[in-house]
Amino acid sequence: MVDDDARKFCEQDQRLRSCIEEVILGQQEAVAAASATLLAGGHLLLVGVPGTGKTKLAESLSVVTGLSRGRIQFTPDLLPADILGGETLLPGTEGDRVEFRPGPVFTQLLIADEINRGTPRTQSALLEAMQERAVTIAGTRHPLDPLFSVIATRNPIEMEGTYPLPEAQRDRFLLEVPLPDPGSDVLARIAAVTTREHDPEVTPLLDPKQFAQMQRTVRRVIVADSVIERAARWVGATRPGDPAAPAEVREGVRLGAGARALQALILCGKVEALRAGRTHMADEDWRRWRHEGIRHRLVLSLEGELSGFGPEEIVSAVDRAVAHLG
Amino acid sequence: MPETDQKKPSPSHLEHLGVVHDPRLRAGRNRILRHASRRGASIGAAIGLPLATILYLTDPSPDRGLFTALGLMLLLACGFSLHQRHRARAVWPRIWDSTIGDVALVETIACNWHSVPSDHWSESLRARSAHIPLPTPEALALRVPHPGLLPSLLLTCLALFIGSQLAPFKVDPAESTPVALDSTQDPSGQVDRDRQLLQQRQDAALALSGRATLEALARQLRGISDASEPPAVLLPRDRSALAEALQRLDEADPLRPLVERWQAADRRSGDHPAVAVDGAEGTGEAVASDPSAAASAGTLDTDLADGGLDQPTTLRPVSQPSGDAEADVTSARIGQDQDDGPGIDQQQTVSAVAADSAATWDRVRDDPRLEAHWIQVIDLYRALLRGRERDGGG
Repeated sequence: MVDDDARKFCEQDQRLRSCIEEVILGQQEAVAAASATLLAGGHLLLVGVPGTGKTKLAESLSVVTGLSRGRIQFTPDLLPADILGGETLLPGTEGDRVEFRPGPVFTQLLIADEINRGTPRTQSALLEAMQERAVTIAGTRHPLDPLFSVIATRNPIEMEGTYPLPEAQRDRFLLEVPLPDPGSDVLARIAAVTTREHDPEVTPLLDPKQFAQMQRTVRRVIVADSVIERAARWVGATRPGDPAAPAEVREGVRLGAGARALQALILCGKVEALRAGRTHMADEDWRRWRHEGIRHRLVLSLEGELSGFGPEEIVSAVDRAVAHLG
Repeated sequence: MPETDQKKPSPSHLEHLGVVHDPRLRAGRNRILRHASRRGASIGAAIGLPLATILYLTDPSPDRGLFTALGLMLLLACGFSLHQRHRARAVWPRIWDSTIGDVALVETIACNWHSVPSDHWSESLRARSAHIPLPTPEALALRVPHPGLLPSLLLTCLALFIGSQLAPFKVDPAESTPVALDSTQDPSGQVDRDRQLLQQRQDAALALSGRATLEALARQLRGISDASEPPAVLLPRDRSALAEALQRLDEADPLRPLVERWQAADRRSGDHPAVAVDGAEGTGEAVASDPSAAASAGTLDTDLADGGLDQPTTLRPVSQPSGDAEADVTSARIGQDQDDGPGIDQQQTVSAVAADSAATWDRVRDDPRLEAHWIQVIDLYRALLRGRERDGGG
C-alpha cells in the first residue's frame, strides 16, 4: 500500500516531466526543478535571457497539472489592484452596490511574466498572497486557493525599466531556477520542432485533485532529525555571523539564507527522495537543490561583489566548510 | 510551510535512540562500534610503534625503556580506540547505511524509532529494520578501512636505524654516576668517600685553573683525560698553583703522586745548566723566588721581562754544550766554597766564567729569533758588566 503511493507519485511525476520536456527542449534540469517546486507547494522564479522558454515552461506546467491559471504581464504602470482586484461600484435597480471583483491572483497557478518590470509597490502586492495564500482588500481578507502558486519569470540582462526584486520578495520563491542558453544542437531541434505545420502542445495529465494528492504525498516523506540538522547547519553556514561560515561568506555575503531556505531544501529534497523511489529522505536529496534554493537568497556585500564572488562560489565554499562537520 | 519541530531529540543522541529496543539495530550498532574500537587500536599501535621504539632506544635503562615503550603503545591504542568508538557512536547509522548501499535508511529508522508512527510509511519503515542486513566485517573494512601499517613500519625502521647510531650513548646503569653515588644503597660509606674524593679533586683542579701549562693536569684531575705529561719547566705561578692543588688533595688520593710527579719534574729541570747563570748575578729576587730553580733557562725570560710575563715568548732556553756549563758551575762552586783554599785563584775563576759567559751572550744575542729590544737589553747589560770589571769586579 505504501509503496503503491510512492510508485504512483513517481509515475505521475515522470509523465509530467516527460510531457513538458517534449515542449521545452534541452532544459531537463529546469523542468525537474520547476516541477519539484510546484509539487512542494512553493513558488517558482524562472530566470533567463529571452528565448530560453521561461514563459513556455510556466504555461506548460499550468497545463499539465490541470490547475486553473492566471497570467499577469508586469509593466511599470501596473497597479496592485490590477493583480489583487478591488471593489467596484455596480449600479442596480435597487440601488448602487459595491462588489468585490477578484483580480488574476485568485487562481491556482499565477504566471507573473517579467515580474521585475513591475514597480516595487506592485511587486509587494504579491507578498501576502505568496506567503499566506490570502489577500486583504479594503479591510477584508480573501483567502486564495490552497493550491495557489506563483511562477514568475525574470530577465537578468535587461536593466532599463526594470526594478530589482526586494529581498523579502525573493525569499518567498522556493527555488530560483535558471534557464541556460541552449546549445547549438538544442537550437536545431527547437527549430525543427517549432517550424512544422503544428507546434507541439502539452495536454493536461492531472486534475487539481490529483495534483493536490501528489503534494500531500511529498509531505509524508520521512526525514531523520539528523538529516534536517545537517541541512540546517549547511544553511546556517551561509550567514556571515555563523561560526561555521567560511571566509568567503564572512567577507562576501551581507545577508545569508534563512528558515525559508531550509524549508525549501527539505521540501524539494522530499520530492527528490520520492523520485528516487524512497519514502525517507537522505542528505543527497536536499543537497540536489542547494544551488537553486540559495542563490536568490544571498545578498552579497560590496567586498564580495568586488571580489567577484557569486552564488556558485559561496555554495562551494559552504560545502567545504561544513564537510568536516559530518 | 511547517515549522521544524524543535522538541525532537537531537541527532547527537542517536546512540540512545531505538537501539535498546530493537535487537537487530543493537546488533549492527555493536558490530560497528567493535570495528571502530579495533580500528582505533590499530591506529594507536601504528602511531605508537615508532614512538615506542624511539623511547626504548633512548632510555638508558633497558628494562625501564621496554616498560615505557609498551606502556605508551598500550596507552595510544586504548586512547585511539576510545576516540574512534566515541566518534562512531554518533555516526553508526550512516556507516551501516554505507555498507548496505542504501541512503539514510538505518539513520531514519534509528532517529524515528521513538516517535509515534504517523502513517503507514512510518510503520513500514520500522518494519524494514528486521530485514536490514547486518554490516559484515568485510563491508566495514571496505568502508572504514584499517590504517596501513607500511608508514608505521618505515618509521620504526628509521627509528631503529637512528637508534643503532646512537647506541654508544646508552650507558650501563651499573656504571652510571647517579646510581654509583647513591649513598642510600651503600651502607659501607664508600659512596660518601668517593664523593668526597671527587670533590677534593675538583677543588684541586680549580686551583690549577687559568694556568695553561697545568691544563692537562687539571683535566686529568677532573677525570676528563687519562694521561698527562709534565713539562720540563714551570713558572713560579705554576709552582704555587701546583702546591695549592696538592694541599687540597687527600693524602690517600691515588692522583696525589701524579701532582707530586709534576712538581718533581720541575725540580729536575732546575738542576740543568742554563744561560742565565751570569745574568742572574745582578737581578736578585727577580731571577726566581725558588733558589733551586735559579739557574733554569726559563728564569731568563722572567727576569728580562721584569716578572711581567708568565709565558715564555720568543726568548727560549738555549741549548748549552754540557761540558762548558758544567765547567762554569764547577768553577763557581769551587770559588765560593773554597774561598781561602790553596792553588785556586778566585779572580781567575771569575775571569774564566766571564769569558765563557761572554761567548754564551754572543750566542744568545745572535739568535735570529731574538727581537730587537732584547738585543738592546743584552747590550746594555753587557756594558754594565764591562763597567763593573773595569771598576774591579764589583
